[in-house]
Amino acid sequence: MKKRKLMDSLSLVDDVYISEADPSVSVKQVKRKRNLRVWLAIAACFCCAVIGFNLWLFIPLKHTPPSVSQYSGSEYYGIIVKLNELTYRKPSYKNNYERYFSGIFKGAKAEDMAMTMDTVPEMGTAATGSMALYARDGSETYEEVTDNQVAGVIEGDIFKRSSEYIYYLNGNTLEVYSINKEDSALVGSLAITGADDMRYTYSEATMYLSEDCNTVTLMYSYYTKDNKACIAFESIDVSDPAAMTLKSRVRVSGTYLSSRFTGGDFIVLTQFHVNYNPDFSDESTFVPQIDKGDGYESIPVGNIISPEKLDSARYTVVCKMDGDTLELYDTSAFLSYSENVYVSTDNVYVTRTYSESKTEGELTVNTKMTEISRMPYVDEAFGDVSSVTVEGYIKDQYSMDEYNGYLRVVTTTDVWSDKKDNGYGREEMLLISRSGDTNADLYIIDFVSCEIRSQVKSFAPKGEVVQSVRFDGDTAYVCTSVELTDPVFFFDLSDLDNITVKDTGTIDGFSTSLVNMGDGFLLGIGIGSDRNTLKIEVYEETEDGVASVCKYEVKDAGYSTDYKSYYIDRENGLVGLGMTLYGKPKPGNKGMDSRYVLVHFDGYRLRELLDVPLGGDDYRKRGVYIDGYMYMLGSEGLLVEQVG
Amino acid sequence: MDDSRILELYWAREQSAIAETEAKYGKYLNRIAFNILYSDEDAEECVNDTYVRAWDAMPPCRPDRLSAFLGKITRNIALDRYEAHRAEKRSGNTELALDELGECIPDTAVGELSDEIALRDAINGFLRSLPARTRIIFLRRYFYVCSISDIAQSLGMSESNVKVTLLRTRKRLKEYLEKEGIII
Repeated sequence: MKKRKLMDSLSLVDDVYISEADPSVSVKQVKRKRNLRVWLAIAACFCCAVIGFNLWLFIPLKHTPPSVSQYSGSEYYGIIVKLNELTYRKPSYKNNYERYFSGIFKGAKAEDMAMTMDTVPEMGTAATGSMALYARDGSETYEEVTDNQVAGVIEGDIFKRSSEYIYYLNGNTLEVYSINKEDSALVGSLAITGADDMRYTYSEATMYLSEDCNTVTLMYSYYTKDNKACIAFESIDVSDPAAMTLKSRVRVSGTYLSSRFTGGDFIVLTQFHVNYNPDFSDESTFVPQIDKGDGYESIPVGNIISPEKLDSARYTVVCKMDGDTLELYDTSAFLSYSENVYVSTDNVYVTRTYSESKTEGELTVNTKMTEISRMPYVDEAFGDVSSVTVEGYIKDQYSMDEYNGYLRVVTTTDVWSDKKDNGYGREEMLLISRSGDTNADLYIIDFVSCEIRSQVKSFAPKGEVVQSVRFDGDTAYVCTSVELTDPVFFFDLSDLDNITVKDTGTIDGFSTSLVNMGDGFLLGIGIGSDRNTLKIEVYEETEDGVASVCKYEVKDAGYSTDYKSYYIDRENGLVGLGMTLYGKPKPGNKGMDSRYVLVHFDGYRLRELLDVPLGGDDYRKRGVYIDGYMYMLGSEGLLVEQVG
Repeated sequence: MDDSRILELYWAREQSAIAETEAKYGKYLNRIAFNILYSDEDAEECVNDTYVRAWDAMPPCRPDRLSAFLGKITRNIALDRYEAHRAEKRSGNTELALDELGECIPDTAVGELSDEIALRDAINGFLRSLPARTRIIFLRRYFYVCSISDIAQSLGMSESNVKVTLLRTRKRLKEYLEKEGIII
């Protein structure tokens, strides 16, 4: 009975097992069927993979900016939308086949080559000073050696001095030398090792020396270990030059642009570039950030000034910091602005150059325009921004000057016409001709009413561009050039309703820097009758024009165009600068002879006082005249020469 | 014809349902019945009874696997018929299978008899735990009542291998039923 019950119970077994054990189906058949199914599945997978791979290879790549609607809740959404349009780079390949396989048959594409990043070797670790103690006795005073554009607005440099010491940034090392004639010596050094996240520095540091001579503030750009560009602001205690120590540090994302020290505070200008196709889910990729010591924070959207239409995905960031503690007072970021900045005693001016286009028949006429924005900084917080637009572009900070409530600006105007054609059905218009002209304008701008108060349009010969500008009180000096001839213009701006101008007429060469030497003399440093000639020339205003007083020329010489590398001593009539003589290669110098030259202007002529060998790049050479001795600095350190 | 179409015929009360069933599963059912009854005549009657029962059961029944559904009916009818004619006709195969299964009956003697559902769940649980090949051997022997030699031949094994496998499986079944507290 029990056996039967158990036998019957097998009738309750799941149908699956009954079918599986069906005697009419042999196990081999089952296996064969199963194998067939497996092979069919494998074949189906393979076919799917082949089809998928081909779709991936040949479906055209998307060539429109991605949607950013998912960031609509972000406070930066307005900026994201603008940047998305501007930073989007469509793929340079039609599809993935062309992207990955065309190179096999045709060689690597030029675009690939261009995108390869240069690498910079990693810098070494710190070396600290090991000299005897050089404690101060309280009598040391600050001495200004930088030829600042605006009196009272100090500019940073690699060279500063006090009454007792010279501070020089030799590459990434801060060196301190005693001032003691022939017995001058290195008394301490400090290597810039940077923040913990630093991978390597990629720009030269600049520095400031405090008025009490106890603090050096360093500013330098570096790459972090995760390849982000940052700027470090470091306060170094130099009260004992043999044992310099770090006091505080602030970091800002981006790259260092410029800075000023005025009224006890730093005005620091940095740039932040937004890369192509940024990841908008990560604010650090498209908004400048600041680290006050407790991690990076994005600049609030309310502090970002952005034009309606962006021309470049770049911010100019302006920070105001306490000169002693580096405490950050206020920050503003100007999106799409260029790198020319000018800082007066009250205001920061930033510029944005763009092209305005209009169609005239089959021609497109383009005009360079520059929007200048002014931001007052006298209080701890920045004031309201006001803007004025002028025609042309600005060469450098010396092309701007604030005087008696007006901003005076010299621009190079640039108007050109394009004729484009897509007659062959091209996707993009093909440029088939271009013609244009340049000239120079002078503008006097009233930022209270945001209007142009006076202007002198197209004052230079046709086709010339502005090479150098200097303002001095009611006078503006401008050098324009085309090829290797230049007029130098003297503007009398004492009556803004009647601006008068005199010029030298066409003379050989042109000045890349103009320096007011006082007593009505203007010094021009630049290129002579040929591109390999260094020319230092002094000009003077006469009744009917501007005349050359004298000039000093060196054949086959190169020089630095960085105005900070010139030593200008108006009181003693001295001009010093580094230069490199090019001759036949000799063992050890490859034909280049690196030197420092000091000339003296006595009101009538320029006379060479020193011409000595000094190693290093010309733009990094510095010099200062102290009590009958010339102290010159280059890559090999300090050189002291008595000046007869 | 597909099982689903045959099922539709049953549900539509079409007489052709039986003809289609016979065409597709006649041999299969006949083999089940013959394995138990060891008589062509009895087996044929048994299969015919199966068609009648299937006609009565569908609708309302709608089995997922028609072959297993029919096979179970045939097997039950054949076992009943075997029981009725046990005294007269003893097919060695069925008797042997029953004896072998007797070894699987748990020794537990105290307690209430397990109901049908508990027994079904236990048997299915046990079969699930077996390797597929062992399960096939077990069911061919005790569901389809195939001879050892048929099983060995169809699976490409020696008879002794089949016997050893069945011996071990029976032992495991007994242990399993005892562990599950099944009383038969």
